Amino acid sequence: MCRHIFGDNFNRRATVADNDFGAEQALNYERKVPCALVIDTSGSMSGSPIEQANAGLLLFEKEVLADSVAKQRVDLTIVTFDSAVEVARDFALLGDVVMPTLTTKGTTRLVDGVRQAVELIKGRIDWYFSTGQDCYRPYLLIITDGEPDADQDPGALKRELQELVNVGHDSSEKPGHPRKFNVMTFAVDGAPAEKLAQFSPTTPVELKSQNFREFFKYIATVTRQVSRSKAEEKIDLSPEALGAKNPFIVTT
Amino acid sequence: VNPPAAWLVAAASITGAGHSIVGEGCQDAHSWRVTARGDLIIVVCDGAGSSARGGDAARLVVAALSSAPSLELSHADELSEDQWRELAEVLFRDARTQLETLAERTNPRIALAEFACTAQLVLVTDSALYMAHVGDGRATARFSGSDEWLPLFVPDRGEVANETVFLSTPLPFDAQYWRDAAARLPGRANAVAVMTDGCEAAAFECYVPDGASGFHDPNRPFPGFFSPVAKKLRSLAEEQTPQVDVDAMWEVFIRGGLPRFAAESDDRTMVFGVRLD
Repeated sequence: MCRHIFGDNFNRRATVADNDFGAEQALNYERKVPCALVIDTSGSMSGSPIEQANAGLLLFEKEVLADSVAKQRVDLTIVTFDSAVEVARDFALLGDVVMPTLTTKGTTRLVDGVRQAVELIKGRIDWYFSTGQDCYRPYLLIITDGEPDADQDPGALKRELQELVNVGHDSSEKPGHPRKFNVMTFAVDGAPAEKLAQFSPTTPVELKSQNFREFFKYIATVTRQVSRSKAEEKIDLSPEALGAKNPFIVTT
Repeated sequence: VNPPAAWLVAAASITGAGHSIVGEGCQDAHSWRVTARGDLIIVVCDGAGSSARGGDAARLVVAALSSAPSLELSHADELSEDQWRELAEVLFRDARTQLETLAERTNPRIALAEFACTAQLVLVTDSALYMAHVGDGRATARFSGSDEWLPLFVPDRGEVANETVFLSTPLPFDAQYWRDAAARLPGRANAVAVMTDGCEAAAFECYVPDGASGFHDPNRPFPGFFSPVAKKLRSLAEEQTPQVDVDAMWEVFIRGGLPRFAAESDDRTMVFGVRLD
């Protein structure tokens, strides 16, 4: 899994002085942007929604790979949840692992799925630090068309996620340097926003499954840009903030 | 128009692909000028990408700093480091006040934080280089009698690598901060370059393996980048290349003259000056 994670030395391969000034470029590696997609694969996502999601994942990969910087930075895992939780893709750079084809079944173990993704991100941050690497703020992207199963505890999850957004994960590998999370929740095809708000620390963004391709293209843009965003301003992911730039918002 | 006699300067601010995608203009700004006695003044600002008025803030701060009369030093007027710190703090405070005024005038409901930008100010005289900065970006200079490119400051970093401080935040304005943020380097600089962080991965070594413990940021200007550029600019000056042509060449270079530039989604600004005598 980790064999290629340092990425190529992007710049080392590209030092040819082919410009009017005869300049060569410096030799740098790239810091990583850990990104976890948590995708609902319950029965209600069958048919067109899951087909669109699979097509969207491939588009996401294509978009990121087309960006020579982003492809060295975006470190992606995919966790699915239905009646069970599955790590459909462990953390790796795009292109290093084949993108999975998701299938649907069962109910909505959403809380379990999100917690699994959180643990994966924490573990990844620990690993970065243990190997002397740095990383940008992690992304946790939750995509669902339904509310959690009745026996799940969305309130507890919300408190956990709020802690990660506001305080962050303080890795034992580098104590005192917590990494705060960016968390986005997407409500697919009219999923009850008020139910999703029970666990989501940020305002859920409405999304039509028929727009999954545009959505994943947008997410590719976000993850490409996140490494350029600057601190003090957290990225506002509310529908109001995304506004016209967000092509997949359902306006009601 | 031929360039001023004392220096040849190439400068450009380029809109990054990431900003172009979402229909935003360039949020970097820069200015340079040569004073009557031949001192070079460079100002570079990077408007924060996710603040609504970062580009406006960058342009305002560039105008405020670059036009400051107090940067026009007269002959025997070289400043001590303490005097420079004091002057720099006054200039940056004044620029911040202008930001506050702009914010209030624009819309009182818009927070000052929406006018977030970094700022770098460099003044090069015959006997010293004076530097002050708030936030990230990089700068380097080479002094007479040496082939070494020296980093002029360590960029401010937050919790993670892409986080920094801005002129709109209160953080930069205490004595502790200015002890590190403003400095006087004695000697006669014969070349200087000031840039926003969009250029740093091409021009500086800033994330490299350090052997046993992993990766670090040595903040090391890359000679393979800077030395050929300085040499080329000198040859352009000898050929009396018009400033407009120099600027055009420079814009092409910063836009995509290196793979790392072409791949960069952030806005990019670099001002590069070489002394001509």
